[in-house]
Amino acid sequence: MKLFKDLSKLRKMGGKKKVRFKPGVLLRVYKVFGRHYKKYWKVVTASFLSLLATIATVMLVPWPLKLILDYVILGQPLPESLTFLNPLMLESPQTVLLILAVSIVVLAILEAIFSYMNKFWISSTGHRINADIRERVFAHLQRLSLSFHSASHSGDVVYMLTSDMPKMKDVLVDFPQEFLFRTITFISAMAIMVSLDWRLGAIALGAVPLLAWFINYYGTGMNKAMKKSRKKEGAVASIISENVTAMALVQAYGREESERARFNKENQESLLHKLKTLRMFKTYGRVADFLIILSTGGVLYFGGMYALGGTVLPGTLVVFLAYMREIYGIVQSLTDIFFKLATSLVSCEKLVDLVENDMIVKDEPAAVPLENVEGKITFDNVSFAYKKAQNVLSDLNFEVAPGETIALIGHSGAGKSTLISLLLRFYDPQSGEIRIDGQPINQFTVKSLREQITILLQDANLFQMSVYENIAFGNPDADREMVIAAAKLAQAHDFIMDMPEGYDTLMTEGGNNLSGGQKQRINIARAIIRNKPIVILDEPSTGLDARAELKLNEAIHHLTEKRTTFIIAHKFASIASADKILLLDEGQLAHLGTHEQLLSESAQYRELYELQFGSKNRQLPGKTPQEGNSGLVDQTPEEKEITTGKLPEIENG
Amino acid sequence: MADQKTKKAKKTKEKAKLDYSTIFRMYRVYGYLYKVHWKPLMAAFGGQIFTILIALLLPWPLKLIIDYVILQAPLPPEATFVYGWFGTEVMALLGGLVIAYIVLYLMDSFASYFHRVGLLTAGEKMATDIRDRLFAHLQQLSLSFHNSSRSGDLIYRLTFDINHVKMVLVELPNFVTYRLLTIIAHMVLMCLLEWRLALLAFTVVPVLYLYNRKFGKSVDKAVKKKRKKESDISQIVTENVTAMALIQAYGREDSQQARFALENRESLESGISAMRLTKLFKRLNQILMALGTGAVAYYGGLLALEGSILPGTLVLFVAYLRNLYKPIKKFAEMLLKVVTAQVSCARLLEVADSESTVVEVPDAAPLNPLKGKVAFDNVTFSYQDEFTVLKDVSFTVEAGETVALVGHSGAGKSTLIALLMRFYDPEKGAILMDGQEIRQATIKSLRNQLTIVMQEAQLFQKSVQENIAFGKEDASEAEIIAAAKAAQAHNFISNLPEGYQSILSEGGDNLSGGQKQRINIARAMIRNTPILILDEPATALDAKSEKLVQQAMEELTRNKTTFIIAHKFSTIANVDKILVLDKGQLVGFGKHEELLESCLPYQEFYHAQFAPIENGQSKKLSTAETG
Repeated sequence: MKLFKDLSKLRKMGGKKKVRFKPGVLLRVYKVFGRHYKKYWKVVTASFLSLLATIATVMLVPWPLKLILDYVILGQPLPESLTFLNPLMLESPQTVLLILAVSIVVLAILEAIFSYMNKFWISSTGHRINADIRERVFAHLQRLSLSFHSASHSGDVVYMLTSDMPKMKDVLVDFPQEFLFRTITFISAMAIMVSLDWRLGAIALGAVPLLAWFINYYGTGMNKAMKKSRKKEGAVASIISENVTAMALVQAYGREESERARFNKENQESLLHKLKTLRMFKTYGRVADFLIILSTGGVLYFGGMYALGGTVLPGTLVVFLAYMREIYGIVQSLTDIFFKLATSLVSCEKLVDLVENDMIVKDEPAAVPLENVEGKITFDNVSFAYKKAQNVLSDLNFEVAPGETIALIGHSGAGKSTLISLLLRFYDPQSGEIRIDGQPINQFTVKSLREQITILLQDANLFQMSVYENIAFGNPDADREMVIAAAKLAQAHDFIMDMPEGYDTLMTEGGNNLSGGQKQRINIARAIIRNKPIVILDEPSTGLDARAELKLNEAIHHLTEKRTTFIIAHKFASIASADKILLLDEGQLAHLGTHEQLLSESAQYRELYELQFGSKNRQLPGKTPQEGNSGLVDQTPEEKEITTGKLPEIENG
Repeated sequence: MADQKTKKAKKTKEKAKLDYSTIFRMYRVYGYLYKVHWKPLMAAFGGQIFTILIALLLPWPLKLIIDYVILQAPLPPEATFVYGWFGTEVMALLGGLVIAYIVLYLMDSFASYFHRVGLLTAGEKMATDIRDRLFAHLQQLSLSFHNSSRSGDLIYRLTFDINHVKMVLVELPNFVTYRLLTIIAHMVLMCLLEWRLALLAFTVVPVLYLYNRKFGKSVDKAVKKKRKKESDISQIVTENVTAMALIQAYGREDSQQARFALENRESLESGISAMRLTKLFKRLNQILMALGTGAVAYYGGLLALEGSILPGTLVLFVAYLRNLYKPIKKFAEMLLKVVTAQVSCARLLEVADSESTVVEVPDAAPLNPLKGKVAFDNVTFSYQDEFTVLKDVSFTVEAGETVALVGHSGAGKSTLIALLMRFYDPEKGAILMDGQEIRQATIKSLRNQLTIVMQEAQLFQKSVQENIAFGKEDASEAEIIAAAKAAQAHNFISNLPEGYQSILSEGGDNLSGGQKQRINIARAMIRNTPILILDEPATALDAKSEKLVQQAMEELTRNKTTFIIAHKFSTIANVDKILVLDKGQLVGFGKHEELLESCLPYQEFYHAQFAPIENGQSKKLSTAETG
């Protein structure tokens, strides 16, 4: 799991994505996900109000010191707005001093409270919106047709829902919050400074445009350098990953030194680029410092001069210096905010793309539920292509009678899995029609169609739930008895009972606490419990040992008995036991018939058959079939039934 | 062994405590790097001292301007020499002070440049060196290490964990010296200036410190919980994405959505509570600091009213307080970073500490050129003291013979091969090649005479030519082309956009399975060693490429002693001898026909793997009869 995440991170480090602020994407994000604010408008408003209150207290913070300095210590006459304090000031300046000192603490407490309210509300809204969006994305993922899922790397999707997802909060909540906070603070500090003394205000703000221009100019170069540095680091990561995965080969061929040299070269190059970026970044800081100090020096000099002339109070100077710290801090941090926004947007864009992706197999407007299936399946001139002009299946025509077993064979890429996917409506064919009991399948709702089919996939995907829940996954209405019955039929009951908590044992990730054969048997139990008229089997070809293999075959037999069955066959036994064999060749139906028919009629079948199943052993001097069977020690009566009893039974039916 | 260590590493991850032993070990193991990179470190230290001193001077110009320019207090007697510079003209004094301020500020800017750049440079350089050393170390480790630790984990260590060594090696010592020196310098100067105010200012420091330590821990706990929840979520997402076909086919989207929503909400709750704690923590810190500032403002104001200090001194003190409280505020943050970094360091140290289990004997000599006779003499082997994988295996293969290894998975086939390559050493017994015991030879000389072709064609992100030449370091172009031709690869390589110079994408994804296999074989071909080991690819190739691969294989194995882990019947039928392994024991060694007669495990294996054809025939016959 972690591996998935890391590897896709590594891929990212390759730096293929450009980190550039794109306003268009920002708008798209707001358009697609903006509606998630609505639910929380009250909290968002409250948070905005407390943001304003925070800014107001921040603006007041330097004032008590100024008042102490000017009016208490230096005894300047109070301004008109404060004349009501005159008597108190005359009587006991100490009391005024105490009040002002306390107000420092009070202001700090107020700021803390407001800012806490603001940050808490906005942040928790951000978390909530994130959770809402994540559920929306997850739900959307589940609706997306398999053409999306087979085309995308599962690690990437996981990465999107775990690591890209928090970035949504950055864009939807943190960015507006930070941006508003900074602009409003900036504007109010500027307004107060200008109204206190416009001459000093102008000097104080003098460097702002210069600084803004400089940051913009320099930022582009910085971006480039950073991208390059990331790319270099990506190259190092890819050598490491190559070498670690191919370590046996490197050691076996004795190529440690040359690989180390290759690594060393990239490693050093990556270092150089890192250092270059670093120096650039720090130099940039110095230039910004220089611009700021020019303004600060100006304020000190002229402020001192005006103070001498009596037009400015000394405390005002203190206030100015405090405000300037705020303002220049804001200007400098703006780059960070936009940089963060740009990085987050890269993640958000992926999520927007995902949500706007409408590769969904939809129900026809007049779709009805599919019920009471007998199991006759018809492919009528079906053609299908994943990409334009590259037919994976062309003009496929065949019919399967209820209860028949049909084996699909062909080279990999011949279209076997695609055929199955069409039947399940993971995709819709471009032309032609698939019918169940004579009715085209797109007349039915997708859900009800899939309800009538059981698919058994090659990979036994088990979930991190209890064994019981894993089996009941096949049928939501299953009760405990049904689960146990299914497990018994799937030859899984015994080993499940041997597990520490029986059916309530929790599967670990991917069911790793079970052997391959055991996983397959739970997989089969999950299919058996569905009890549906149509079965699709992608035959597991795991390297199981002979005994596990036999048990598995027996279990599969229970699953397919008396049902219309499609098998993507890998084992000869399955081909031999099928009623019909459908040979696919590059998307076309090459042959349809019994094993003997195909063997005598189709050269292609013979070739495939010899290649995969080693026809030579027919000529080998060895045992007769009967003696061969006796070599398998613990064959149960039922197993014999699979190999001998099935076909006559169906013919009787 | 390695497993236990990983477990230990995981445990350290769960505990949010400073584990000093890891940190001290880092200094012990990598301390020598301080000497190697002393230049940037010195620059950093010099810069640090300067920034600390300048920080003390920076508030002075404003104080002096207020006191001596604006309020025109008489200069203290020891500073009257200034009149000699500026005369008694206040404007000149003001100008001088402003210039002093600008100069100080710029000096600070440059000093901090040296400080940070020096520090970061040293950090990056050290990380690069460590990474290089670890990479080399990894290459020397025997496969017992590489098997037990997953490759993804190792990649993670060398790409992400490595970034954290800077934290422990450079940032932590810097943080400690910088903060300590700042606090001490301020304390001293403030006491000298006005000890009563200084004492007042310092009362908050221990409170701040204790509070930060305590609160930091609970914040940390909340953050951990949140992280745990997040990993549960990614778990569910992975499960769902990989099992999407199943979920859609069984129509269980809704129940999966519900399961996801449940975890998602839980993660949300823990996220919010972690966030609340963090914010609260910050705000309370702010209030504590304001208490200190308020106290100083009040008492300082009183003193100024009395006239025992100048008003500017008050301004000066407030500025100093800011400097003083800042480092403490950072303390909790730093602690958290160090704790995370230390986990990474522990994981790196673990790699550095792993030792190779295959070690050359002190007087190892190069192996003489081989003809190709291979003998196992009573070889016993087990992984990590667990159950025995090979037990008393003895056999002899003559030069030029081809031997197929068969047996169920887990029977010991791959282990036997690994012993032959000396990826491991046997516990008991000996392996002899042309009569020489391989343990007495140098590893390099042994592996130089063996060629292994693995099941998976691992190609590198290099040109086709370099990929083939990987087999033989000094291969000429003619040799490379000859090998490619023999491996049936020349034609398709020539058709690639840049022929032999075409760069393969990661894992060779721009080639088909069969093409990759043929380059794999060409790479083996060029080595031209007397002994060959093949792990037969079991992946289904289409018929045409299968044939080409087959031809290439035949070319490769001609006249060489060959071991094949066989998966296809045609292979077994064509070899000189078959070696049957069952649960680590040699149960049969001979020709197919002989074994089929006499060896029960072979019969069983043979029927399970290949014989169904006969069952099938019999059944089909019976069907035909009934039909």
